[in-house]
Amino acid sequence: MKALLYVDDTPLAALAALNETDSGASARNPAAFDFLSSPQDCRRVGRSREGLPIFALWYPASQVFLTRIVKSFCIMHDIPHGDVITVPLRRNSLFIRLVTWLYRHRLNRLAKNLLSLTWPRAGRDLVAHFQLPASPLRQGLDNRRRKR
Amino acid sequence: MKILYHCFGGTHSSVLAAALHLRLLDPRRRPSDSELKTLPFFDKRAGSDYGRIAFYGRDEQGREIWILGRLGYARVTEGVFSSLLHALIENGRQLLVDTTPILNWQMRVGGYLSRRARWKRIGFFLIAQGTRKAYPRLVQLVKQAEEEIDRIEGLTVR
Repeated sequence: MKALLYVDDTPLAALAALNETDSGASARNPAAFDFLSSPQDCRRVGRSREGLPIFALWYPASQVFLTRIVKSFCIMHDIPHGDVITVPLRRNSLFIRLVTWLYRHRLNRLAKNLLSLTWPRAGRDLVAHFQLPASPLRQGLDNRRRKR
Repeated sequence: MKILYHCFGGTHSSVLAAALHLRLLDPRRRPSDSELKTLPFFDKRAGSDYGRIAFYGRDEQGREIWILGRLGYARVTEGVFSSLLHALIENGRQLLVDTTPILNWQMRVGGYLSRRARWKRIGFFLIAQGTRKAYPRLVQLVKQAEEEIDRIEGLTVR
């Protein structure tokens, strides 16, 4: 596996990806993160505890579309299946839905301020709603089980 | 070098552009209905195939030609491909060509009728009419793409 790619239509992808890095970036206040005001981007946010590079990609499109586009990119450039794992953001908490709504209505600064005010509680929420695949093997087994 | 032609559904204008690039269609002559029907993927891909890339062939220089249906997300697709190229691949080269600027109303309506409403006969009739009408612009678009490829690869423009 080469990289983990967090995808979403909001910069929350990058914030959540930061929580997975080994640098302890989650302890910092989001006010320090300039990317939270960026409407779209793809950036490397660090390395996971296992040493994998973590990227975050956010563009104004559905997660399904973004995941398919990433997969298409990998096929086109001969990146082996499973080398880039996309991790979509889950929205189970009301707070995350509210921040997402703000981002979707281009109220990026307000969303960023809200995140800063509610930090680090918001950070814990974000971590909780991301589900990192345990391992490619485990993922393969789960997929097979789902197909059955 | 990899070339990706993309349009709304990935089954009409992008296929035509890819076929022209690979010389499956003659740039000097407008295609007939039977020629269009024999083109791989032409008027065949389902709406659920959006975002899924398809390999179309290799040109004379060995470049890979791909097609993609990306709904209305032209800028998003180009942005994502470009950022991923910079992030994940060293010295990777690609060219994305949006083929929707050549579309006319016949191709748009025909595409909708054939793919979405599943009225294939009338849909194909309109698409074929529209294709012949838009053909010179399509040839021009592919020519521009080929010039751009030559520029990127540092070759002398033909």
